[in-house]
Amino acid sequence: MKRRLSIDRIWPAGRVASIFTERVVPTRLAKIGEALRRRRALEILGSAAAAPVLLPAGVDELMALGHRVRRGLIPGERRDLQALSPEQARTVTALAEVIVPETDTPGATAAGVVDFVDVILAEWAEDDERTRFLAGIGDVDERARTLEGATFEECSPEGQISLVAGLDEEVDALRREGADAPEHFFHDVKRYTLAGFFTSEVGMRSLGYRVVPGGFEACVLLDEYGAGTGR
Amino acid sequence: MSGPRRRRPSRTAPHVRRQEVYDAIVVGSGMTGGWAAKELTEAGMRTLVLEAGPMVIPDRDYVEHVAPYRMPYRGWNDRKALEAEQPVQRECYACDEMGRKFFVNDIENPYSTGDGKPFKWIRGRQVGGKSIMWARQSYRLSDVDFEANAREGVGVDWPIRYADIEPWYDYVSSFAGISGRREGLAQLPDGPFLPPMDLTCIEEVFRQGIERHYGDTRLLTIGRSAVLTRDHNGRRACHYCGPCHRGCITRSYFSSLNATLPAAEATGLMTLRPDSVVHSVIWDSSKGRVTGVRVIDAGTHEPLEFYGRIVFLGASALESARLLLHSTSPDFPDGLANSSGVLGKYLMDHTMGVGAMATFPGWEAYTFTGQRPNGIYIPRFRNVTEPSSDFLRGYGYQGWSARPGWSRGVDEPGFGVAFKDRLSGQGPWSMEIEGFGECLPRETNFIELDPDLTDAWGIPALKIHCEWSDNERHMMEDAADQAAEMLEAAGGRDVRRKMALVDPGLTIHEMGTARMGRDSKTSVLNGFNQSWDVPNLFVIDGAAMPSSACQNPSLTYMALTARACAYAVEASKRGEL
Repeated sequence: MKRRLSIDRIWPAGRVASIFTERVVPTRLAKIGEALRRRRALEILGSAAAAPVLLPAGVDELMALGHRVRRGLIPGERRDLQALSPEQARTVTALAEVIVPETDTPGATAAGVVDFVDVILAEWAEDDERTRFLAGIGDVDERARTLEGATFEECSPEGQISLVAGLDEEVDALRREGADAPEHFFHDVKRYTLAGFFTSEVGMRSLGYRVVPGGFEACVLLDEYGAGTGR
Repeated sequence: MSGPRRRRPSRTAPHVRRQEVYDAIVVGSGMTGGWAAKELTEAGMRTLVLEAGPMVIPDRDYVEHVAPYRMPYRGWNDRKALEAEQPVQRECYACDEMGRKFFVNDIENPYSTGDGKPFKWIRGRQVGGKSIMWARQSYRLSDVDFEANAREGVGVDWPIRYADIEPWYDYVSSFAGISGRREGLAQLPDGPFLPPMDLTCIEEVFRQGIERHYGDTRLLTIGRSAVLTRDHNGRRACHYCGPCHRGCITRSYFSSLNATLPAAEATGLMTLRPDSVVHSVIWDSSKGRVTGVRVIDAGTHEPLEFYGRIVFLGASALESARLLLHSTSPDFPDGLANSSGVLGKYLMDHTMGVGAMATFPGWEAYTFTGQRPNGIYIPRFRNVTEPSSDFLRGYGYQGWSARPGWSRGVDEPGFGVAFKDRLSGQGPWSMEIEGFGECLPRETNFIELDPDLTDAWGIPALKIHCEWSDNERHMMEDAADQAAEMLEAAGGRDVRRKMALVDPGLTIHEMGTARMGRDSKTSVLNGFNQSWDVPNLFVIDGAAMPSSACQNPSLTYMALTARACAYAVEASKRGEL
């Protein structure tokens, strides 16, 4: 990790023609300090400990990789909710946390699942999927009021678990009747929650995900590597 | 320098201005265009490479290292955009949230199909073409394949045999870097392989099971992949990040953009012009030669002409044939170089989507780390080591093992701490294999220009007529049966046949629309990819194939292209072109 970054080393010398790199390498990399570059690269790779061992050629490639990945592809800013009302968002957040609770690793709330659900509902889901989802969220609060006289978010932990168990059983009943993708809003709640959590940065890190695994070990003891396989 | 600055000649001047004449023009910058650019420039020829799509600069445009959590839809894709802009392209797995920019816009690039004959035409229009998104599997054809048409009286005989192409397979493999294991099979010749990637625990179990049960008539080997397992020719070894189809900043897999085009550029003799939609090839009746191409600038729609002494078409099997069909003249009313009448006919693809899967208990304590950009391969045995009475030719299997992750939880009951913990671990080992089957050449599978449809540049669109025949269907029935039998024999549980034969086109091995042959009356090209009718016109992509074999074809296209270029360079020196 002590080698200095050399731009030449990012591209094998003499093999890469000008048309493929012009406007890119000299201007960008030269402006960024070594420390900043290193920090960014390590950030991309998940953790400092994960980075250096397995990579085939060391820090220079890391810098190139991190440099490129970070080039403003995806904005990280929070956006205002578009599909969910504040009340609905609170219900979704509470439902998601029951499905994927905080343990020794963060849970759905810390992973920002509700923001992902909102994007999916606003920009991805079909109209009827969104309608069914939102109606279902309202139904959950109705059930909560019947059970404990409060919204789902305000219910006791036991009350929340009891309500979610009922919903999960309704979906499973449809499954037992042969539905591959049960048409039940809670099936979507669970699907969006699992995806929202396990594809979030904290969720993927909890699985040991690394953007650049650096090597391929074909058959290793699971215990020695943890659950995460970089997939 | 003193005096007034001299006006530099413009590379993009319209046809009314005087133009320089290139030694060669290459249409297309993908798998074969890149090879032509490299071979021709390295032989000293000033070469113009025309690409219909935009420039791709790896350091700017590759997106393989974007983590799912940096994608707006976390890998679930921009569903609305795909529906609106890429309803066909989205059927390819590689047309995903990050990779879709490497696939064409279906609205700008329409085509039609014959009634009841769906065809999925998957295209990449950019510098690098589909070589950016290809699946990198690299296999050789053998004389089992080159002799098949003649032996069975199907189509036309290949004008070459394995001995003709073997040195060219060696040549392109050495440059590209193919990892794999030598197996000594007659039907799947070895090459100068880089070290093979390893089999996972379950793939090794499966390999041994097949060996036990079938002796030496069938075997499982690691896929032969154009991915570097060690540094090679100035390119880095693979770092196993996974999504190769979005690019590779370490240039560890072969593509024109990663390897051949930089080599061509290094000669100083290549002029690469992106955003150049070739409209037609210019035929000079008095010379009996083509003299260049007409181009429409993709951005400005300005009509341009470029001139060259030799023209190589490597625009893809369907695009090159479309271009020739559209290049009509009194001498060639049915399309340039089409005195035989077979241009556009005998379209083939490989069958895909049929096989079997199983789980393998007993190895739960083991896993793998990293994402191997490669699977396993079971070479063809039908009508090689084991006969079939139901069909001609055969199929090879591609496959992979996996341990499912969290997504299995979507279809299972449960929630809470225990559920989270379980999904954070890995599901049972599974193994899946899928048959890739040979498609016979048939005159009834053909393309024509649609009289009522044009693309965004006003060029007539294709109407594609293609469907599988009973030979392919019978073959795939057998592929499913044999897949299930092998998994069962190796100890697989819960074995399920998979019968999801894809529409033609979706395997993206379309080929055959300007076939080579031994007779100018029944083929478009001779054995050097050279037009029988037009000596200075070559078609170097999959259009040249008189049969499809069952192997992934790109390596063969590369070898044929390098061979054709060497021939053209020599013929040019002799003044024959």
